[in-house]
Amino acid sequence: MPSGTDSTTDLLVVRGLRTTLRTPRGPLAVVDGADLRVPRRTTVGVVGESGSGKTMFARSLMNLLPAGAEVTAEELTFDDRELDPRRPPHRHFWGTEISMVFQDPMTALNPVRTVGAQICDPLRVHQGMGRGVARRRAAELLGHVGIPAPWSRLDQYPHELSGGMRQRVMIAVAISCEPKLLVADEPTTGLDVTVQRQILALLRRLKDEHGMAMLLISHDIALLADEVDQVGVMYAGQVVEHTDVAQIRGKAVRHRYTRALLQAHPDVNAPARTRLESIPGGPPDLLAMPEGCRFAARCEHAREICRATAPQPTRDPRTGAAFTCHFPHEPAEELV
Amino acid sequence: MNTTDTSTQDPLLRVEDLVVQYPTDAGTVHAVSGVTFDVHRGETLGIVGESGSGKSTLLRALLRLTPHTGGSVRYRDTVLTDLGEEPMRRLRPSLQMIMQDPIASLNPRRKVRDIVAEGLRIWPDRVTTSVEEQVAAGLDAVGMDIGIVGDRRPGSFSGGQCQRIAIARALALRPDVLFCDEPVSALDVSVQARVLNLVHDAKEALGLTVLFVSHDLGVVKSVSDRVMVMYLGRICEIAPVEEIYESPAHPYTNLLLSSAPGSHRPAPPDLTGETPSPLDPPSGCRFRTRCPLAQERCAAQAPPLRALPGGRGVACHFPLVTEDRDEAEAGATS
Repeated sequence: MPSGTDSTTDLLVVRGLRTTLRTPRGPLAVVDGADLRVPRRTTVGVVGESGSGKTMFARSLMNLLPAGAEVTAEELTFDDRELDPRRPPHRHFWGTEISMVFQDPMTALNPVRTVGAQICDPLRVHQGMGRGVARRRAAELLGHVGIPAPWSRLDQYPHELSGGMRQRVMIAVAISCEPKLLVADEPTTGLDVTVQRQILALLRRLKDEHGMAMLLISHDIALLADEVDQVGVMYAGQVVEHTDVAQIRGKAVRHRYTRALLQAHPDVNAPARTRLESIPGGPPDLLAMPEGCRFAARCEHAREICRATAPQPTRDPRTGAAFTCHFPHEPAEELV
Repeated sequence: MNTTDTSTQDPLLRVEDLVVQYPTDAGTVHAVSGVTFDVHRGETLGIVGESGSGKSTLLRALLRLTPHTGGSVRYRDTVLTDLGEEPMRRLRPSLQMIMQDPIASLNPRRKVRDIVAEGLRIWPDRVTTSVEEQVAAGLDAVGMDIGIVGDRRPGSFSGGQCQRIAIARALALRPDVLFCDEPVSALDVSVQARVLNLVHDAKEALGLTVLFVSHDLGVVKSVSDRVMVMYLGRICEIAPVEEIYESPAHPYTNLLLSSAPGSHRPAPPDLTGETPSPLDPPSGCRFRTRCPLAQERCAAQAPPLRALPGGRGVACHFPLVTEDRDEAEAGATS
């Protein structure tokens, strides 16, 4: 994607990812031809509204899909290794190469096991540590993620911790085996804004210290603008724009949906009582996907061709951003 | 006590020293601990705070949906906190509420036309033309056509559409005050904008007064005339929206603003601090356990909400904005 796209710099390359769930109404393509690259030591954000497929995209990478789900891809490369999405690699892959932080730590952690036991699991399974060594390492990890008095926390249960502390525990589990890629799916969504800031700062620090790459998934485009290097925008199962964060911050985006998303967002720096621009209608039914551009029905710039033909990926020659739009937004400075 | 210049105009709502406590097995929850503020006619007052701040409990207590433990609420000439059940009920059409979960707040078995008409059927004196016409007008105001949606049930609508139906239901009664409790926090951003615009348009068209509770600082800024910041059951600060966002006076407001995504404000050091339990709030100033400026006095004595120039009020012993009138005015003119 933007600047430097040769395979050696990309840790993860996803091309044409398609994830189909089995539902009573028939097969449902929740991710339908998504492309995304994550360069090494880089944070890529994925933004999308509910139903855009951002969580299913992450879960497809983690092999954490409901029974009966089917994943195919034109290309899926991790750390210069070709992966076959239908034949998952050895179980040591998840946890040591890629690991995940989930949205709700209360349901992701086991409520009847102590925090210490849950951090020790990956250390013992993947790294073959003995009980005592793993416990010492677990205490170190808890301290590392900013939990005060880590030794006394090891024997506590998740319900004894606050939401922010639980999320720190889950992060400790996720980084315990030093993964190369950390997938964080809405890691701060249930948390208060002051705690959210702490957790994001923690993730940033860990990413830098461990040289990890991170895939940060969020519905909040302002949060991603603060935290990430690149942003992938998902709509109806596809990545419709992938751009450097500078274009998001400068509102110099190309896809009409990205533009609409920015204008609907209540910006804390905008003048008070700024009227927001809503996006009419709702996302398309995944079982009755339109022929052409999937955003066309809600797009004020849509013309006949948008409804007839799906736009092909285009690259912005100036910024390197990739987008799929027949009539892209022209940022002000480019207007002739 | 005065937080704003209210001498010229009687406030529409006057809340004095309101206290809400709940007994639980674990002890007493101090949800709202003595809050005093006014709401002026025609304004939108944003109420912002994190979980446990008491903002939703406060809203519910104003409407007597939650029993209060002490203090008073006056609406126009009526003291709501002294009122019996029946006179309170008769005021309810004027005091309408929009809830957080749009789907749960609509009866799933009823048709949209009946949901919106329900209030009018209970309160015939609120019918100026006919129930049918007012229901159609209410739905039209939220961008829905009664011919298309009237016979459908809530299950066939999205969250944003359900919230618009809930707004139509509230507006059909021609209320005086609209109480909004996190009305957009369950909605996607593209839909949220539409609901916020509807609330604003209805306020302008009907001359409503709006109380708007939210945890989202961007949302509060986009709708409010004045903003009240709450922390652990107390008011930290109340001020016109521009002043709160440009020069917060309370250290907690400052922390909140610098934590907001996209704010680009330097963060004060609060590396692991979290809101303490409302079961056992700190003595004195409730924010002192996380406050970078806290001193001994903050633990000993709860700071009263005192007036600052420009119609502001702040409850802090060491506010970030000076209360010296001359100095403040000199600063404003320079």
